[in-house]
Amino acid sequence: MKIRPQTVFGFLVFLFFGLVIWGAWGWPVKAKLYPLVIGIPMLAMAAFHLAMDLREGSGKKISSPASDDLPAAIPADIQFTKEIDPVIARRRTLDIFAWIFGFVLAAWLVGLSWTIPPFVFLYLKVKSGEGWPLSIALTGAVWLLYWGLFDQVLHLPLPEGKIHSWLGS
Amino acid sequence: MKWANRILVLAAAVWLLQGVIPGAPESAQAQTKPYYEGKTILIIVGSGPGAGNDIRTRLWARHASRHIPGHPKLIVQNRSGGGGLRARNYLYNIAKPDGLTIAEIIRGTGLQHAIGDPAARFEADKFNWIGNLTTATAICVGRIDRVGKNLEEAVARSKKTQLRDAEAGATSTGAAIGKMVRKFTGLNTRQVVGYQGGAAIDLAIEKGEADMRCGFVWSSAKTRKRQWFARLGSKTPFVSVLVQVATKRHPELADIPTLIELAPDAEAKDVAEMLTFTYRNAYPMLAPPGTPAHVVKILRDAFWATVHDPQYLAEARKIGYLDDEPLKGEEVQQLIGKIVSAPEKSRKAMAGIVKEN
Amino acid sequence: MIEAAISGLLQVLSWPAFGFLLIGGGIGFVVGILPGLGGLTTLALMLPFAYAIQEPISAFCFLLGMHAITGTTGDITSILFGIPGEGTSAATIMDGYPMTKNGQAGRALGAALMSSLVAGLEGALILAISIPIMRPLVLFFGAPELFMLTILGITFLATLSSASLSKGILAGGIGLAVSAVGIENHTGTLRYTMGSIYLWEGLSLAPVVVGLFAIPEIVDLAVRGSSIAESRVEKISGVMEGVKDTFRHFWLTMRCGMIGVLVGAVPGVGGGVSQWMAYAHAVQSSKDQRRFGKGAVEGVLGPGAANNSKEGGNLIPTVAFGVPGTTGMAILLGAFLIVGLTPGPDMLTKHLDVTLAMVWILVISNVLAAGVAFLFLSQLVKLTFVRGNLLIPFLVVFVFLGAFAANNDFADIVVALVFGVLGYFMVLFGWPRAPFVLGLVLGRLAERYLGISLGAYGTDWLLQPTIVVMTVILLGTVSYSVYKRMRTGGQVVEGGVEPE
Repeated sequence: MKIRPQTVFGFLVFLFFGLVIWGAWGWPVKAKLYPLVIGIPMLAMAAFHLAMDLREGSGKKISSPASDDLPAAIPADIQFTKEIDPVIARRRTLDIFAWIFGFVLAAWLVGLSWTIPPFVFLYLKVKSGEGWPLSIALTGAVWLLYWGLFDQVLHLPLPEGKIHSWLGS
Repeated sequence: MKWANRILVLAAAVWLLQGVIPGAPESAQAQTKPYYEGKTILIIVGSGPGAGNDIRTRLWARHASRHIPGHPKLIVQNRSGGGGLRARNYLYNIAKPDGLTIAEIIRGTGLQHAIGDPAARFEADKFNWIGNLTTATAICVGRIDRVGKNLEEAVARSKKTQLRDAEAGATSTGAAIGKMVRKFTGLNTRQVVGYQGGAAIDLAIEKGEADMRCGFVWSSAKTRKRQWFARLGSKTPFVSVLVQVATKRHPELADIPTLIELAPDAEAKDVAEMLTFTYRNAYPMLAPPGTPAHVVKILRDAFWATVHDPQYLAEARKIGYLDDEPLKGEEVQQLIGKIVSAPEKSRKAMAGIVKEN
Repeated sequence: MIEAAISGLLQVLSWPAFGFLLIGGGIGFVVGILPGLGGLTTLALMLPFAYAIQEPISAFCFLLGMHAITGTTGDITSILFGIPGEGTSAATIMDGYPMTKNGQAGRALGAALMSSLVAGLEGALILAISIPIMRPLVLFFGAPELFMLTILGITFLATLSSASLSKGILAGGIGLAVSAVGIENHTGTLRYTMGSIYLWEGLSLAPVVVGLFAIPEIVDLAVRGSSIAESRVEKISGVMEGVKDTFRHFWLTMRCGMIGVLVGAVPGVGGGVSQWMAYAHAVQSSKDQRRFGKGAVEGVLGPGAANNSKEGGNLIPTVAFGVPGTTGMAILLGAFLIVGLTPGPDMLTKHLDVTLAMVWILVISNVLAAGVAFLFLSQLVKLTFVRGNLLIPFLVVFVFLGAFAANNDFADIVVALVFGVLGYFMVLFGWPRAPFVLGLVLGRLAERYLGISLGAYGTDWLLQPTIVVMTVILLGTVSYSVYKRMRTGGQVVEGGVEPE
């Protein structure tokens, strides 16, 4: 039997409520009441959901969870595009997540001020293959908006990167 | 290009707006360049924007530059969380001790250190205390129809019907006062907690959801709830003042006992003093440990000059935030020293009271 | 009262007050559009200007004008980019963004702006009318009543759970559980803080909501490799169509505006919830619920209306008692003190003109915002035809900057990222995100008001007449919606279209 990704997600939700209960167990009654009142029925519900999901997964043949364009009663939420070839879609998804994680990691390492211009420029020039003038102009625009609004007007305490503190002390 | 024009117009508007604020005066030509010339001082406020601490600090910051040689720019940033804990830990462990990062953090720094809060990663007496914007006198009040005219009546009445004492959180300093009053006087109360801020507590008392509260700062009571108090001229008074938390009785509350006076024994007195000193040091400003002595002196002098600046005083009076008296940095340092060096037994007792619920 | 109203209006229109209204409005306009960077942060950062302005009406023109507009323009970002412009304007994404993808951005924006305007005026009107009864009204709602209201809000989870009830309720449950993070009031217990002081006060709404909604949309945009709008069918004339939609569904707009006012008046609930409740109401009251989530204009009108009318509701407890309904109002409360006003009975007698001026500020800033936005719409809509590749770096940068502005802590960025990943998988596997947001906001309040009710009254409050009535209404609503669901749901299952 092949485990579907959505079943793994359902299992993680089950695990999450398990952790909610486990974490609350040792607390004073007044502190643990709320998490337990939420956690216990939800754990049961998550188990039920998981069981239904497993049964469905082994019984019925379902092509792919996301591309399942059945006329649901009411769509739960926004749905991802389904017109792109799944292989390309997967590659692009991993790609954009890598850029997003890279952004956060770089911001943590060298600070937002040193991350934003190279990030924007590299994304435009390297990832999207835009021309030099457009890449430079847009990078400049982002930087100007960032510097003008967040630094000069709003005085946000923009964090320095970890590298600064490692090198500084 | 249309977009560019619009951005330009906006930028101009913002720039004009900045012009509205009286900035630092033209820097005086000094013979030797003052330490702060051309620099920016960052003041971290350990509460959210709009909180009493925040408003007081921003008020101070607007007037301080005039009194600091070199007239630096002052910027205020909020770093709330954990009742000031986040700001304290940051200031102690991360901020550079160069006098360019200072803070104003809600009362309780000494207390957190003294009771050995495991999340407190600082030693309160190692900070360089710059001054205290104002001392605060906290009071306990109760609805006249439930508690009567004074503490004695309240104690007697509470024997029949338990009083409900509304507080923010069970471990807040306001709740600690309530618990001490209960211990010291036998006032029969139970605490109702979970209210978001003083105004919400006041509303609960007006609704009749609660009968009393503690940790009400007298100056706030005077601005927010004048109509509650006969002593402030109300013809239909709503509450009686039961207890005050101050080193000596406030002139306007001369008939009200202090928490220290109510303490039945020496240990109780120690504990009551720790809490009283905490309220006395209500709106303190501090610099990281290791800040050079000459910089600390500049800041302390500037602090003292600012809190006596007529313009500062006029604005403070206008917003009703001119409470009791400011304290010099040296005196704050002493108060903090007293709190953290209280006998271990008293500190344990204090921790017990805070944690009790 | 009429004299005070006229005096208030004249004071707002006088110089320099009106100039401040324009400047504040301009800032609010831009800030509202930028993803995540909320009116809240800006309000906090602009509060010190009140010192400089000093004169109460001018100060409120500046701050309240700014605050009122961010909600309106926040919806623009939600509709055009599928990214919440504000933590509180995520619900307009649900149908507004699909409309944009279908090439109906103009219509969606027209509907959002017009419903904002109509409901904003409604909110101001209700605020004005309620001035004489404001204090008794607020005093009437004790902790038990407020607790029942939060429970009512939580039952809306079911409505928003749409396709799969179990997924919806579980998503709501995750939100309710996450709301437990932070210090517990009764015992001081640190719940799920993982050794981080950042988490002591619980998770802030803005980074969570921005991450949850923005990251999946950025990913989808990258995957599609095209512009946001997939078709160019529509001309800008669609805007007028959206305006007409507002009047076609006028009573829906008014009802959702009313929801915004009522929810806004409950301390602590605020915008995070009112929009979703209005959305749920729009779904519930529609004959064909299948259209929702695919670009039904009612799904834009409802939240668009509630988002603006809530300001009128928010002001009720703030003005009458100094108890702020939302964090935004808490900051405005600081402005009250700075300009030398004390919230309370005085605001309804001695300073009635100031209170009414605030009503006028809400009215005028809403009209101005809608007017200016209509002028800019064609430019804004063009952005959705820009290649996604050019937009993505902007979106990433401003989403994380907006999240960071919530607490000025790097942890905000991490929170946005974590909930972004969660949001991605929720969308991928068909788990609705709306119940999660409702759970997150309402869970904390339900626990607080329950704690206070039990502390103040023991269990006696359960038998108070108001509570009994509210319970009956609540049970009636729930059983009706279960009945309705079973009927339609049954048909769906029989038809062999058991949804994911």
